[in-house]
Amino acid sequence: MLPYMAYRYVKNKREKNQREMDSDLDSMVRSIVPDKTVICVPNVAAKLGEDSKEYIPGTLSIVEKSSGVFIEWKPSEDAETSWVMTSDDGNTEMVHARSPEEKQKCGARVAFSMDVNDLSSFRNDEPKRDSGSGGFPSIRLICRDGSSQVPLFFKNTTTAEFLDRLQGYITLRRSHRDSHLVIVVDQKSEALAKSVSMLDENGDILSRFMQNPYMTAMTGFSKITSFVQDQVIPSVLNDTDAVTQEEKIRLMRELRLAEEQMRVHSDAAGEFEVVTQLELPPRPEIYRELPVSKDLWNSFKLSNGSYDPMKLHHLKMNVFRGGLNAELRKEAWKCLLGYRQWHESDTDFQTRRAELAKQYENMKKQWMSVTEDQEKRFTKFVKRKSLVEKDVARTDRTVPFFQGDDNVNLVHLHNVLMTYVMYNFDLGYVQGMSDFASPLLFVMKDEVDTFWCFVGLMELTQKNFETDQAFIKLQMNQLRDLVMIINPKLANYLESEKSDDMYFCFRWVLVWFKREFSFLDTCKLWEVLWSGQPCPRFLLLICVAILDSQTNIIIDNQFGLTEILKHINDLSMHLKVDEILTAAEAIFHQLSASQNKLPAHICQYLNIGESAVSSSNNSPSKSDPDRVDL
Amino acid sequence: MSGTRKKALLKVIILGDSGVGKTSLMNQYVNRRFSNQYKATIGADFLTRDVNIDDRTVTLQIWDTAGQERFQSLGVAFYRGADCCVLAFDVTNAASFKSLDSWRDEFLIQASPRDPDHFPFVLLGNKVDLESQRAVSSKRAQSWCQTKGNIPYYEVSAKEALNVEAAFLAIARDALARESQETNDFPEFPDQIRLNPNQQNQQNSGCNC
Ligand SMILES: Nc1nc2c(ncn2[C@@H]2O[C@H](COP(=O)(O)OP(=O)(O)OP(=O)(O)O)[C@@H](O)[C@H]2O)c(=O)[nH]1
Ligand SMILES: [Mg+2]
Repeated sequence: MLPYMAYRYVKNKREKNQREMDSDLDSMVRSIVPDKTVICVPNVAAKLGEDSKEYIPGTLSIVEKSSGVFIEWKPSEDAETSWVMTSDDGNTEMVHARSPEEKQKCGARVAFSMDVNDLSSFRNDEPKRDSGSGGFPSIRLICRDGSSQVPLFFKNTTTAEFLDRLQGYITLRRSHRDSHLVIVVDQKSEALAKSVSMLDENGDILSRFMQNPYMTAMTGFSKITSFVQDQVIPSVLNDTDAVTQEEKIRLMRELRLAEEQMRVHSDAAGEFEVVTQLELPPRPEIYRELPVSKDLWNSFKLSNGSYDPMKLHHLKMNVFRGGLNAELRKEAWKCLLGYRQWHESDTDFQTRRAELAKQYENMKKQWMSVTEDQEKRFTKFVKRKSLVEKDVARTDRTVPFFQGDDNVNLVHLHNVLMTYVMYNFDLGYVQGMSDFASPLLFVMKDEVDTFWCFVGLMELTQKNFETDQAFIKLQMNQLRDLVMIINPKLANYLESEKSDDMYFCFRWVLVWFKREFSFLDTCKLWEVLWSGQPCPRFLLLICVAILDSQTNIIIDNQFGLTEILKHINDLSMHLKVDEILTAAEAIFHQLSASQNKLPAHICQYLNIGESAVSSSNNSPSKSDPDRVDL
Repeated sequence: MSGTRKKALLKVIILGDSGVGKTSLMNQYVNRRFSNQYKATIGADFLTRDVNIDDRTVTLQIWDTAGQERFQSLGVAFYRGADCCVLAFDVTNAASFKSLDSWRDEFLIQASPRDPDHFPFVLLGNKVDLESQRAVSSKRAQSWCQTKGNIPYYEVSAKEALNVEAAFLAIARDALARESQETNDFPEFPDQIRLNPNQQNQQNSGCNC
């Protein structure tokens, strides 16, 4: 211990001296040298969100200052020059019609000035014809702390000159795994140091394998990959004698980890690179379909307004493949959420709806009639009420439907949530519920319908809100297992960075991506999930798809626990919903084609393979395996 | 040109009941802006801001977590390594003041700092712009602070940007002072003696042989 303290003492002292010298120099230099702009690229526009058609025009520059070299983006003074890409969705209610002042504000919000030393990497996308990127080259800067700046689109020029200039200060290298990713190379080669220390940390696993003669024999090969893949893993997986599924998956992970260690090791030596896979078939190419139209929807109905039970699966597949036309949501969501039953005729539903409306009014009266005096002795009620009030005021207020101080929709939202508190007082109100309720109100525009749809939706999600959070933890574990199978490299990396509790996906899972997509994209994502197709827990496959797409960014930037969380948080509003849904579906096909190689518990919660009871004709709530053990 | 001189990083965690204004305070300090459009926090996130303290640039990494208890157990990994813990309550909400003890205890358990008795806490009483609705007096807050080892107390308003700047600067100073104090746990000795503790031992205790 003592030598270490002495070491720290000396180190601190040196650093202190260095700082003093630096700061003397700094203040001296600061007073003499003016800032120098070395390059200034006009017409570089910031894109606020993935679904936004609006670009805030501005200027990108590199500025030398006495305190360092900075990359800066500022919005143009003249907000009128803002350019809008062709708008293709007709939902006028949702399109943000920003005033010039608002644009200015948005621009100011995303303006930045960052030290080049804080730059870790950037994504560089060159235009593809007919792509959604608007046909302009773009860059998105990623900082060392994991945060990302807004994507910037070069309207008039290529990114070449800017990048050339940037290279004068830092060394850039394209990731060999992903040509869109450009990494700032640290000359001190921290990468090497890191992989060595990783080896150290996991020494115990490695040594355990060394003790195993089977493994020791294997390490004689320089390329053990295919061996592990072909022989060891299947043998572990197929050995069903008294080994629990958990043990299997743990063993499998350790195998992969050990293997990864060697890979990293050899990688650092520049020998070879292997990417291990549980021999999954390649991902099939998937296309999204057009949203279900009113005509198509109606074609599934019988004359009394109920839905043809023979075609129900087909109908749900249509919803899964394309989502719904906006005008159809009011009708279709009621069915998808189980408020209206598929077999119910129009008249039957009308009768039942009248009954449910009465029930709603009764429960609403219950909380509305609680007097102030009563509240003094009704702490549990008051607590819930104040949570609801605070959250309603903070729910989707940027969406026009909820904007403004005296917006009546806020009152409706409040009423729905308070009535739910009476409906399910034990669960009460938990944060995140208002996120689930607001799109329902936006679509239904009616308290009674919103409430009963909300009850249906809570049937699917309420376990997320239970006090012990066991269900969230369960989903996190399942997610980790899935990443292990789909992308072991990433799984191992997360484990080495102590991020394999997957906490950084908490928000995704708790409110079903409500915070990650625009309001409209959320609606689409949710109805796809409510279709219950092609499997329960499709939500987790969406998580896997997104994580999979971020693998290179996370690993090449050498992000740790903190940076991974920040990076994932900053993906919010910059994700492409259709791309992610197709990737998730492709992953599903990969998994279901390899079902006999998968651990049984995964097959079970995805409801694939032999353990799956064919239940595609049931409502999502019924085919959900959680339902059984409720 | 700037060298690769490392800036000091101070990790600050803001804790307090849901709705006391943690997110608003963090945003007011980092982005100098208040908005009533912020959403309830789900999970955890942080923002950073560089501050100059005595000619030294320090990066404050301010962590904001959700206030509702049931989500706490999940985010605790991020408490570790904190340099300062900011406890926040809403001066118009007595319940949020009463929760302070449990927030403080929870933090100490989860973050398990090496020296819990001297770990730097700061208390912020937010929303003082709503003076007419005040439910917790400044005196009451101050006396709570005294019982916890003289925690500094600031009355702030994220909405009106009242005292926010000053409070965070004090937070940064506190955390920084603590850091350098830690390193000052050693008296000044000539380097060569410190580098060899055995030799020093011998000098102090005479002959060992
Ligand atoms: N009048 C006033 N209102 C404030 C102030 N600070 C925050 N608020 C409001 O209080 C409410 C809660 O603020 P948040 O910053 O979201 O609270 P929080 O502590 O982050 O809450 P959670 O994320 O739920 O833990 C919002 O409606 C804010 O607009 C303030 O200084 N004065
Ligand atoms: Mg918050």
